[in-house]
Formats: sequence, C-alpha cells, structure tokens
Amino acid sequence: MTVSATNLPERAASRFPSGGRPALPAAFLRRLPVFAALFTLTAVFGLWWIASARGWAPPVFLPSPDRVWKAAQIAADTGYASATLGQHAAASLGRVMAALLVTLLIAVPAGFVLALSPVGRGLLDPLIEFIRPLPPLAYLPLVIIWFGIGEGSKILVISVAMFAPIAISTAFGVGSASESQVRAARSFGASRFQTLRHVLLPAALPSIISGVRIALGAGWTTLVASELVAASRGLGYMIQSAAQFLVTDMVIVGILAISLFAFGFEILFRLIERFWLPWSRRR
Amino acid sequence: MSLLRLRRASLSYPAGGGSVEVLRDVDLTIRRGEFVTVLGRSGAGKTSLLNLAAGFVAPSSGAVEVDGRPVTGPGADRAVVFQDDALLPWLDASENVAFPLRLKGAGRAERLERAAALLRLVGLEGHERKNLWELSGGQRQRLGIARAIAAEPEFLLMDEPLGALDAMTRDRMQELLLKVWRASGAGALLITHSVEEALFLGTRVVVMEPRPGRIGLDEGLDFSARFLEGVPARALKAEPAFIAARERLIAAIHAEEAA
Repeated sequence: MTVSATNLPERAASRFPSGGRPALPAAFLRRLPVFAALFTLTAVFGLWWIASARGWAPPVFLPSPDRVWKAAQIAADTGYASATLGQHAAASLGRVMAALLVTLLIAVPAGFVLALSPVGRGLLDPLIEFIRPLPPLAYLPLVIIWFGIGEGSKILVISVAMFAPIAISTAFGVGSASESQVRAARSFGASRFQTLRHVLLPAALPSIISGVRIALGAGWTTLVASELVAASRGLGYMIQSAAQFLVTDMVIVGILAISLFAFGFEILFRLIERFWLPWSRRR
Repeated sequence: MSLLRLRRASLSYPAGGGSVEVLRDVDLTIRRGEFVTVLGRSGAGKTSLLNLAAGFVAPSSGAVEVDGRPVTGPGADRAVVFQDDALLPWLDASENVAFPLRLKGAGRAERLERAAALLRLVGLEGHERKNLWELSGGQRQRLGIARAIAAEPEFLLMDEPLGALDAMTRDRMQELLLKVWRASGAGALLITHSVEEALFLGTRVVVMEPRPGRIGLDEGLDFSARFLEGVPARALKAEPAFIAARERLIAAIHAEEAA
C-alpha cells in the first residue's frame, strides 16, 4: 500500500534472480540495501570532504565538513541570527507540529466525507484538486495579504500544504475497509457512529499515518517558505539570514538540522507502524 | 417463537435507464430453531435474498418482517457471516469474537470471559491472544461464526461461510456449524453452492430460480437432526435417501437451463 524508498528496491530486486552465480549468505543479501544506503551516504560525505580539502571549490561555496561542524557548535552555543540553533529548531518544530495538528483536525474528517459521501466528494474534490498542485510560494503572498504576517499565517501556509495528502490518504484508508466488514458490524447492531469508530477509523489508520508522513515532507518544504517573511526565529529564517551574508556553513547547518528532523519523524512513524499497527503489513 | 419473514418481497436495481429485477415475490419464513439452506445457480438472487433478510437493502415491494414488525435496517437480532471472514485484523482473536459485546458497551473483563467461552465452543481454546494472520482460513471462519453467535442473534444469516475452505476443513466445519447452531437456538439461513452441504445442514432446503430470482422448490429435511442424534456424517451422506435427494436437487437447480 505504501511505497517507501526502502521497500521499493527489495521488490524490484526480487524480479532479477541471480541465476547460476554462487549464492551469497542470505543474511548478507537481506541487508544489501542497507549496505548500499550506507555506501551512498559515505560516498557523498567523502566527496564533500575531499572536494573541500583539495580546494575544488572555494570555501564560500563549499565549506569543509569541519567548518560546518564548528558553525553548528557556534549556532548551538552562542546562537546565530539572534537565537540559538535549539531555539530556531524549536520555533520551526512548533510551527510544523501546530500545522500538523490543525490539518489532522480538518483533513481527517474531510477524508471521511470524501470516502463516504458522493455529494461531499463533489463538494470537496474541486477544492483539493485546486490546492494540491499549488506551490506554497505561490499562495504565500495571498495568505499574507489576507491574514497578515503573524504566526497564524505561517501555520496556515504549512497547513494548506499538508491538507491534500492527509485528506486523500484518509479517504483511501476509509475505502480499504471491506463492505463485508462494515456490513457484519452493522448486523451486530453497530450504529453508524460505532461503525465509523470501530471499523472505518481503525482500517484507515495505516493510510492516515502514510498521509502524515507525506504531509510532513510537504510541511518541512513549506516551512522555509513560510519563514521567508517576518520571522525572527526558525530554521528557515536562519538559513535565509545566513544566505544573505553568504555564510554558507550556517546554511548547511540549517539544511542538515531540517533533514535530521525529517529523518527523525520518518523513523518515529515507522516505529508507530511496527508496534501500533503491526496488522497493516500482514494482510 | 420468533419469525423472520419475507412477504412477496421483490427487489429491483436501476440499471442503464431501466431496471433489473433481481427478486420477484419471494415468500420465505424462517423460525427460530430452523436451519434453512438456499441453493441456486449464480445470479438466482441468493445473496440478494440474504441482503433483504439482513436489512442491508430494502425490498422494492413486499415486506421483510421479524415477528410482524417491519425490518428497517440491519440489527443485532440478525447476525451475518460472510464468505470472506470480515474480521477486524487490528483486534486479536478474543476481541474479534467479543466485538458485538464491545458494541453493547461491555467491559474488557466481560468481553474476554465471553470470548473464552465462545472460542471453546468453536474449538479454538488457547488461541485467545492470537493475531488473525497467525490463524488458518478455517480457524478464521470459526472466529467469524463465534463472533456472530456473540451477538446472541435470533437469526444467523450466512452467505457461503464455508465456500473458501478446502474440502476436508469444510466437512469438519459443517459438523461444527450444526453444533454451534443448535447450542445457540437461533434460526439459520445459509446460502451455499454445495448441494451436499445444503442437504446435510438444512432442516429445510430452498432452491431459487433465476431471472428474476424466485423460490422454486422448498422442502423439509431430517439429515441434520439425525446427525445431531448421533448418526455419523459420512454414513448419512452415503444413504440412498441422501443421494436421491442430491440428484433431485441438482436436477431442480438446472431445470430451467435444460428447458
């Protein structure tokens, strides 16, 4: 159901049996994608390190890993752009989380409406299809004109980007409950609300989680845009400030901080799926 | 004594400007303690008949009644078992079986206690905490039946509950189903493609004729009663009376085809 970057190569690889070659240990073969991923990471880092050490690019364009690490320490301890790295990160994380919460409250019910009511689908579909392909930078100015430059506008911009993935995934998930599951529950006396609560919602949870994963990706992307205007804290703001003065090492610190958060959330959601929704991969 | 009754029930669906008549003037009464099996070719409206009885669809004309009161929708007095087990994979075996009790607001202790008793009834004791993907198709279908019984229905409506099982499992499940049905005291309606199954399980068998679906033959049976009195299933199914009935029903099912 969910296609993630890690389970894709496994499936693709299984279509190419290794023929008559001598068999490698199964444990090694199973971990091969992990080794490949580690190889890519090491290669990129190594290339970065060599390129900066050899002076292939001037430090202002490509600061060495060493300088970036030092910049990170400075940002963490004394701060950069009027706040510490921790404060910037907290501001950004707060915005993304607030936006996620607001979006869940609206998009999950919207997903149910999409899945359960043909009229509701007709009402919501044009809106979703209108919003979905819009780049955040395109509607950011409009949101500012309408709602000002406060914290609310920033959260709104991120929420708009998160809405479609969560609503669509929820609708898909609600549809994954089989007609017989719903009918059986009704025949045991389940009210419409109980059917929603005990059949449709649990059935939709894995999809909702997938939707949240996609939405968080969109959220982090949009975060930087939302912090372009009238922010005084945030990782996006920090990156913008550093870029204006060509403090490239600080730009990279900001980028890595965002990618660390995104990675952390990805791990968190995989753990949630594994321990809370073990059934979703076992059908 | 409870009665589930279809009175001159007809059912049509709109299709391509006109409408398709699925059932016409179906009269069928199921009493508590009765086991009515329904046979018929594909498209004879067997499942539509069950959907009417369950209240999933309303008749276009005629009526569906329980004890004289019109059926307005599905309800716990008419629990349904489907061919695909329709279990909920996020719940373990116990909680699946106790699902109807959860709907009534029963607490966890009560649910587990009742589930344990029902799992024993269908021979799944010791599987309380199992996840669904750890169970075989036959075991899952037994859960589905136990779950329907947990709703304490007046009527048990079954749409080919054994249709997806292998032949060996199916034979054992038929015997189990009879014992569970008798223990519950409910009236049963079972749709099947298997003539042998219909004969063995039913206290009555109904054959439906297609286009539009209507009741053809409707006759009483005593094989299940004799099985419950202790006659072995294989011996019953080998009796000349059973074989004669089987051939008669096969002929009835295919009568229109030949004509």
